Amino acid sequence: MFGAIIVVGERDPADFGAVRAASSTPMLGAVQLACVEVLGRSILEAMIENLRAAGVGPISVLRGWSTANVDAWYRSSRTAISGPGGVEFCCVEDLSVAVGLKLQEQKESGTEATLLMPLGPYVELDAGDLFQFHRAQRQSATPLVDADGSLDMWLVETARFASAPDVVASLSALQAGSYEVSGFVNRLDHPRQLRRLTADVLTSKCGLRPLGQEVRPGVWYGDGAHIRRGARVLAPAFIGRDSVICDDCEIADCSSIERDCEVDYASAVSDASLLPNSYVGIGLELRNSIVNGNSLLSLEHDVTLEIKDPFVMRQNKALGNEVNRPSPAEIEVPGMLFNPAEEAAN
Amino acid sequence: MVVRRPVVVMELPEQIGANEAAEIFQDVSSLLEFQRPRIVFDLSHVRSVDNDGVQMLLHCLDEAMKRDGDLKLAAISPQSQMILELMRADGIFEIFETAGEAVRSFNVPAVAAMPEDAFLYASHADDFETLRRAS
Repeated sequence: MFGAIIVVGERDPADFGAVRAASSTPMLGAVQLACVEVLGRSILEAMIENLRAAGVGPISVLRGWSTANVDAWYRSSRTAISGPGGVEFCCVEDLSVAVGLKLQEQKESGTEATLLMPLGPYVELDAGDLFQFHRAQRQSATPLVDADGSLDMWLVETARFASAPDVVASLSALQAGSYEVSGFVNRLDHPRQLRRLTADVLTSKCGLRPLGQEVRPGVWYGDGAHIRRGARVLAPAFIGRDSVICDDCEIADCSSIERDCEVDYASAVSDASLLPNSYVGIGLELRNSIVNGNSLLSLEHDVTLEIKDPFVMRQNKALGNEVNRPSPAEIEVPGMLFNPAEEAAN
Repeated sequence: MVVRRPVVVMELPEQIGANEAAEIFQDVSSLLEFQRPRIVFDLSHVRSVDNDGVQMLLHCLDEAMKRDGDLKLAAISPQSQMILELMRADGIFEIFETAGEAVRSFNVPAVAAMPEDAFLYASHADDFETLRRAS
């Protein structure tokens, strides 16, 4: 049907809205929220799965190599996406040039149209409907919008923009009929949206499903999740892979405990998310907040705290071995620069 | 005859870790020797409270209540509020926007008996012997 190019990283604010999609909270730095895991997988993984399921391909993920602060999250997403489907991960020096080159490659492989999208909003598209709309409009590029405005996504004629030096600048100058996305959209432009997305998934308001098994209605456990006998998990809630919920704990109100976390004895988690590899100490109460290691973001107060006492909050396990899944290698593409530091790390 | 003691307001330091908590408790101890201690902790400068700090606050409240007194918190920052919530201590204390409001709250049943400005104000490092004598 059509291919897709997903752009990860910080660019000029005028381009793709990638900067806008980055979190501005100290707890996540400039990490893009779409790289953070929600209910077992990152939004990057979820978007790719959705595109694959809709028959979109080939799919390329382009990432600027200067975006070092997305490394850990991005690497986790990248290694999680494997198997057939032709997803290609490229680390590039200049995103503007790389998009044009990648379009040229897709054109040569016979792709008629390509969806250009920043890694940012989570969008559930009716790919067939979009393609038909694009064809019917007979235009070189179709911008995607929702009720709140532009999504910074375009379906473009691959041949028309192949090898263009700055595709985004060209697109910005175009006047074209917009396609209004009727499916679920979460722009992920604030950590609050991360919580909203979690709640929407757990209450089945969108097509995304938690990565794990639904052990009873609304309660999902990932592989190796360990809920001790005295703990209570009240629907809707998610306990991720290899996480431990100790005795007398209560997890409730659309809370998500991502992989490799531990909630220690008698703590309560309500309307909150623990990002991967976080430890929450004994007898605490987390409400309306997001925990990332020893950082606590209160959505109620809109304040981030760094907890210095490791008995209260900390990273649960040593970093570096959190990803055990097989990794498709990031590849070098002609005209694109491979990041030697990342190569060495791999 | 019931003697109404003045309300003592203590301004707490920017950080309350184990060391600061011990110092503060030592200072407050002298006030807690008397019946019906009435204490306000002004947290307007506090940016960081750890587990020891919260335990100290709870211990002070406990000691004050044992002597038929009370300890109230005022001008608490969102950061400190978050820590109290996390440690499940937020519902235990009476918390006020300002130290003045906290002081006035002690006088609700007998407003006329006590002028509004009849409280002492001190940082925890100030001369507590003076406070103790006054109290």
